[in-house]
Amino acid sequence: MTLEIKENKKVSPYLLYFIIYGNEIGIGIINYQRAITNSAGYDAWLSILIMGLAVFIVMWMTTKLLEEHQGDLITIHKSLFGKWLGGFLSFLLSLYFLTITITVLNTYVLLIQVWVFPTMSYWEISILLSIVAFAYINGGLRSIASISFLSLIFSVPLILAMTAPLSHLHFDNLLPIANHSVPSIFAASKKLSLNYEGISILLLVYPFIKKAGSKDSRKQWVFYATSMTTVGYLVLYLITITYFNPNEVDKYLWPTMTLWKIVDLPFMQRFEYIGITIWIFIILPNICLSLWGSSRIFKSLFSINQRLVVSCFIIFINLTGPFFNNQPRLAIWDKYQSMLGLCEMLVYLPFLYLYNLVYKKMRKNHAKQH
Amino acid sequence: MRNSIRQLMIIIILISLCLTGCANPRIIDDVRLVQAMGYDYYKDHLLLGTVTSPIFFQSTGSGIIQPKSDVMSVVVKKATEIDNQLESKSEYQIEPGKLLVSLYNDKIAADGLLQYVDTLKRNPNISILTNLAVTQGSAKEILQGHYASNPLVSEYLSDLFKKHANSNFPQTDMHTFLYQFSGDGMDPFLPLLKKEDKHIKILGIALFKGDKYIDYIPYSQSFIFKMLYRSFRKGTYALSSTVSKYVSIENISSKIDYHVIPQGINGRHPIVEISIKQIGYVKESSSLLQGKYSMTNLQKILANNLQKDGMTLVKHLQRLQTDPLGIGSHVRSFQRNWSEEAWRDYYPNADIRIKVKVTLKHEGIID
Repeated sequence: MTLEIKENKKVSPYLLYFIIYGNEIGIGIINYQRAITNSAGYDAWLSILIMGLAVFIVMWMTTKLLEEHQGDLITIHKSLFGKWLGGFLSFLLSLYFLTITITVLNTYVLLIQVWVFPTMSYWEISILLSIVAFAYINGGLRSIASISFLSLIFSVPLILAMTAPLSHLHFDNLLPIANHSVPSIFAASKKLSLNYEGISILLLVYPFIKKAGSKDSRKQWVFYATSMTTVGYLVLYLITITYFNPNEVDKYLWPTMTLWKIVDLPFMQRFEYIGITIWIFIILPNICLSLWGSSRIFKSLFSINQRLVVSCFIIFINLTGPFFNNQPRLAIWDKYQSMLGLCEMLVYLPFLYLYNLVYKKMRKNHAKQH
Repeated sequence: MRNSIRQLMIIIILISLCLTGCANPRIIDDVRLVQAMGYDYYKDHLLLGTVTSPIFFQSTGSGIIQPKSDVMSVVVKKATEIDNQLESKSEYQIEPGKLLVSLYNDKIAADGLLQYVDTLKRNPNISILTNLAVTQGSAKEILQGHYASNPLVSEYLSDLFKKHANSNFPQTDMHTFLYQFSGDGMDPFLPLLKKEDKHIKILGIALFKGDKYIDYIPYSQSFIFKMLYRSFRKGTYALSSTVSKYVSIENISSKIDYHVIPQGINGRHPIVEISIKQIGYVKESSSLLQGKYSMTNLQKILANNLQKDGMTLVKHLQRLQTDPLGIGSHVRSFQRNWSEEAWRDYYPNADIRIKVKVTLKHEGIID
């Protein structure tokens, strides 16, 4: 079953790089150092490599699957599992995308409240963010792709700010290498899932990307984006663990933000305020893409207007939001979210790929017999 | 349909612009920026907290605005009450966002600094590079004093630390303090201050065991301390009185390297070899550098002196059972089964050796 998308709704293949990158970098990057150092100590950079490799393999499987079916998640589900079971699975994934949106939005609101405006109410921030997000989703995938592109451009000052601690690093902290047990290093890898949850959007975005020329270049951009994020996480982790003491990282709730605190420019004493403000462009692609994905599944399953679905979702998120506007509660939610993401990425997607292989073989055998 | 949505969006976004500035503005004239804090004991168990904030008065005529330091102090039971009590004295909101220096009386420091540092660390408005220091005598007196060079004691102190971090004194700030406090096999240190008439003097390096102040190293030893602490540039070293002539050396670069030779059961009692390579030049000399004091001989004398002074310092630190140089943490990076308790037991008697090599690049512009 192939899925045809109108040419004027498609985007260029290189934009896939920004979409995947923009959706992967989001809320996980502000405090992943904490969780992984907790289980694997200063050796956790090995865990990042392991997780990066795992995600790479999953991405390869996913692109194979998408290429073979020439469709998106919904059509794959339909052709593999039939209308009802397939539809149900798509529905579950739609809810999964919705939970990502909830996590990202609520974490960012809390971040603003903790660092910048302690007296601002939840809705003041969340409604403004929702309006901006809706404006981009309203423009379709093309405008979401453009905000993903801008997100990388705007984050350049943040990347430059990371050079401030470079002269105060203690590389001794990394020695002796691999002094933690293998299970603990793998346990740390599992905690990285929140950092990679964005990859699943590929399943829905893929048909919207132009093939451009005879050779299909879409796959390579996916791989570039994944390797870039892994390298980014690795470098940031190495900076964190050599600037702070490994015993100390655990005590900072948002180590990445605390790293910005040492940037001291003559005209600006505190960089982290700028950082948090720019961060809005980093989480916008997350919110937009996840909401878009979630509403797109609803649209195809129930044939409802996508704008209506998005508005309903936004209202739902804003109504439930105050419940999560509380650090301990959000921490528990984040834990479940990362577990959910782990199952989705490293269990469900490989399962889908393997099921597809078996299904194909069975069909072939079946055809031969007759 | 699409057009009407777009129009609605534009209207909503325009309306939301009215919200900017809703979030509690803090105008610079209407807040008190606390730049320095000080803690002392008052009578038995009460705490005397002192803060200074700059006030800018328009002086008539000249148009130059001279800042004045406003000092407020309160007596409280616990450190956390200080902010609260200060509000009762101040006509404006007190903002700690530009805190530069936080001072602790030596008696307070001896009882443990962590509870005070924790309040600074928790507040997202406060920089993690805030300077901390221990004062010999009252911290309030230092903050109240009038100094020749700068009317603001906070800026004076902050400049003092900044300058010293670039010469003989190791860098200290809240981040370094917390790093050393939480790290395995290392103890923190801070500068020790004393008021001297119109100036503030750095007496030396205040040594800590955990978060408790125990003793200090005099300022004259700080070059040796910094040399053993980490690689650095700049700083001056004067040959001590064992040499009849006065020679002082300017350091270009000092590089430190650790070698750990495993010894004992499980390598638990290693020999630690600290080798230091220094490059410098002669800055001052009381006479010609010839004969016994030729450049090559001088290099040897210097290396010997640095080595001897270094050993004395390390022995002293071992006797105090504190490890501000972080020798333990260096050993940790060499050993897979390093344990903090075992190291703490071994440290006072540890076999620590120092090797120094000095290269003098030039002797200035006269022979």
